[in-house]
Order: sequence, then C-alpha cells, then structure tokens
Amino acid sequence: MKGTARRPILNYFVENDLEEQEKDGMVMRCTEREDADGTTTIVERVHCTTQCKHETTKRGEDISGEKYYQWRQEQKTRAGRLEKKLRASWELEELIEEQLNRFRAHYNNAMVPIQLKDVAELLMPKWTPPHELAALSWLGDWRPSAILDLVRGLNRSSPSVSSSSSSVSGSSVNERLLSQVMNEIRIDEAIIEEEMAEVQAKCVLHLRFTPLIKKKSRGSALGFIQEEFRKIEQVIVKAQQLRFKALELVVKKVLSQHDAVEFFVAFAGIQDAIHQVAEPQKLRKVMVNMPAKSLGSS
Amino acid sequence: MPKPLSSLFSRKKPEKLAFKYYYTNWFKTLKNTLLPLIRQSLSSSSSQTLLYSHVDLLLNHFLSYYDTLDLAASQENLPQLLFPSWHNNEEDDDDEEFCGLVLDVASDKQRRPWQVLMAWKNVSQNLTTRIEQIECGLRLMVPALISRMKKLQAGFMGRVAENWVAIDRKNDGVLKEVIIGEAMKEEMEEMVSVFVDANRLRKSVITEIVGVLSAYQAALFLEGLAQFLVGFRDPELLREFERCKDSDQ
Repeated sequence: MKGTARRPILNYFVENDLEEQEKDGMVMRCTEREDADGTTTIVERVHCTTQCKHETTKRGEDISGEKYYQWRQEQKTRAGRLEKKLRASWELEELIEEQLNRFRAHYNNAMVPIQLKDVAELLMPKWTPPHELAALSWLGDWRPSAILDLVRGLNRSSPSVSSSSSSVSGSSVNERLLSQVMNEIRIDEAIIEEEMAEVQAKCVLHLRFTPLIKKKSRGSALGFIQEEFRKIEQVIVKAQQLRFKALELVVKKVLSQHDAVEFFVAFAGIQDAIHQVAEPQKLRKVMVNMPAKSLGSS
Repeated sequence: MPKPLSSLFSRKKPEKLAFKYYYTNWFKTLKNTLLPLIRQSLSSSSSQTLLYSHVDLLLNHFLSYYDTLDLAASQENLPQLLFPSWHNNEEDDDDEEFCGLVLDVASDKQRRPWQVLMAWKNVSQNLTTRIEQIECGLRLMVPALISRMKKLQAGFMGRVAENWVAIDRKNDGVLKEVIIGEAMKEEMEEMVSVFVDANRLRKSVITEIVGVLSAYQAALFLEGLAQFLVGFRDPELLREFERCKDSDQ
C-alpha cells in the first residue's frame, strides 16, 4: 500500500519539487536554472547563506579539514530538513489517496440501493433537509458538475492561487483541463438525466394500479414497482459513480497536491455549512393563503 | 359546483392553511369522493350529463392542486414543496406521464358499457396526432425548465465557492451561514418562477389533453390519472413495499 502510494508521488515530486518548495516558502526564484539542475541550485543557495554567515565570524581562517567537515555537517542538516519535507509531502499524498478511497467506497458501495425502499430513500433522502436538497441536489446528492463548479469558484477566489499563477507555469488550476473535465462530466450527467426522464415517462404505463391489474396475480402491483425501481436503481448507481468520477478527475488530473488538499477541506466545510443553514428550516410549517372566493363564484 | 369542493373554498376571508393539511384533504377528496364518482358515471347506470359534470369536477380538482402549489410557492416554502414530507417518495408525477397515460387507457378492458369500452378503440388518426403534438411540445419545454434549474444550482455553488476562501480565513461560522443563507435565498427566489412555470405546463398539458378528448375518453384518462396517484398510497402495497428486502427478488 505504502509502496504503491509512494511511487507516483516520487515521480510527481521529481517533476514538481521546485514548484512545491516555493509553496513551502523555502527556496526557488529562477525556473530556468532549476530545469537544468534543481539540486545544484538549492545547494548553491544554501552554500551562499552559509558562507555569508561564516564569513563574518571566521574571516581569515585557512582552508582546512575543519572547514570542510563543517560544510559536510551543514549539508547533512539541510538535506535532513529537505527529506523531512519530502516525507511530509508523501504523507499528504497518502492522505489524499485515502480520502479518495473513502469517497469511492461511499459512492460506489455504501450509498447504493440494497432494499427496494432504498431507491426512494436515496432519491429523496430523509437525512438531508429540503433546503439543502432544493439548493443543490440531483438524484439525491450533489450534482457531479457542482463539484467542478466548486473547484472553479475556489480557484477564482483564492488569492494564493492567482498570485502564484503568474510566476510559475500558468495557473495552478489548469483552466483548460478543468473545462475539459467539466464538459465530460456534463455530458455524462445529461445522459443520466435523460435515462431517468425516460423511466419516469414510461413508468405510468406500468404503474396503473387498476383493480384489474391488481387482481391478475397476487402482488403484481408490487411486481410492477419492483421492475420500475430496478431501472431507477441503475440510474442511481450510475449517478453515484459519476459523482466519484468527478471527484477523482478533479483531484488526480486538475489539481496540484496543495490545491487538492484545499479542495477537500473546502468541500467538507461547505457541505457542513449548507447543512447547518438548511437543518433548522426543515421545521418551518408551510402555510398557504387559500382564496376567499369559492371555485364557483368569479 | 357540487358541495364537496365548494365547502372547502367558500369562506369569506382568505384562509391560512397548513399545506400538509390541504394536501391530506385534497387527496382524501380525490380518493374517497371524486374517483368513486367518475367510476360511477362510467358505469352503465349513469347519464351523460352526470359524466360531463364529474369529468369537470375531477379536472378542476387536479388544476386546483397546482393553483394551490403556486399560492404556497414562496422563497421560504419552495424547498418543502419540492421535497414534501407529506408525500410518499415514489409518488412524484412527471408531466410526460400524462401523455403516456392517455395512449395507454386504450387497452383498458374493464366491464363497462359499450360506449365506454369503445371510447379508446379505433382512436382516430386525428386524435393520435393531436396527442403526439402535445407530447412533442412537452419534450421541448421540459428540458428548458430543467436547464434553468441546473443554472440556478450552478450559480448557487459558484457564489458560495467564490466567497468561501475569504470567509474561511476569517474562521467566522456565523458569517459562513449568513453568506450561504443569502445565496440560498436568492436561488430559491428565482427557482419559484421555474416551479410556477412547471406547474403552468402541467396544468396546460392536462387541460389540452382533456380538450381534445371525448367525454368518455376524458373520463377514462382522468380516472387513470387519479388511480395512479391513489395507487401509490395503497396501504397494503406500502406494507409489502416496506417488507420487500431485495429489489431483485
């Protein structure tokens, strides 16, 4: 598990270490030099600081074994610090992977219908207050495209992202990639919607509940419902898979490690905040002012 | 108008009513009064005049439900009207169902007078074309409504997300809820108009369909529609449904 998680990260780190370290506030100014040989650049800067420091205190000393020994010690400490950062980054990557796995299990295993009544329950979950459902729900949960709307919105609002975007290669959230993923997800979403509309449009043909149909065979009304619900169940399963696909694409393809973490934090925070706002409102009584006039009078 | 409905609406002052209460009464009237009435008038002993009046009653009952939904539709109420606790989950009707229903009533073979049995036999080409036109119109209108709703939801998410980073840094829980509350309110205000338009579409589809049908055809169509709604609430069915362990069984 650890080994598999590390490999891609290592690659990632080799490709992006310079960028990453800039984010950590460590070194890096000039990308041209890093491209040629990143390590050398870091060493040069470290060397430079060390020299400056030592120059003031030990000016006049001869070149000696002692000085070389100090230089090696310094290097070891510095490398140790870098390695620590590298390990932290691996740990972060593992956490991201773990988080994705949790979502995979949630959408693809935990929240799929098992009993017949689960189908209705998942479409209109009782655990989600009506205001939350009305604000963002699609087949009972977040729209897959809303996950991408969230990424885009966060990207627009994050000052750190926009400031770093000009200095490094393009925006840290790749808008072109994001649009690509957005298109793909929207198409899939529309297909699922179409399937659901088709099921609903046709179900009336099978769910007529006429006394005749009910008498034909025992429990046949239930049989019709089962048949229709099985179709809806398939739609729900697809919708859940698409939600996970949107998350996975965003985290693995579009966002950097840092932005993926920010995204997960915001995703959880926003879900929670929306729930907090919606929850107390479910107790409101819906009142209606019936007209004074009767239907007959004008 | 006959008594069951007028007694509900004949008060002098506008009456403030809990929607849940209204819906329960509306449903009871449908199930216990109007559905038996239309069945009765479809049976052999009934007169044409009675049939017309019962078709009218049932049609108005459906239309009045959508009118009342419109009356209740405010920014605050909309979420609960969209996701009502007083409904069964599986009872939500779809506009396109009406057309499907109309074409299917033709296969009904209950023991009824000849005119009733023949009402949906040999349906004229003209009628089929008219119904198909109505369905065609629906298939154009429904996606537009859905797309308006989609845009509103995306707008809500965009607005919340764009403010999120700034609020999150302040770590102010109250401010978060204020911003989300505002965005939600704005979204619901605009969604009310989508909801009202969807109800208008539902009303116009039912009215148009009944408009192109003969009295017998209309009676059978409305009976089917009423039966569809009532059937979902059949207590025996609901019990079986709850018991049903596996959707594959």
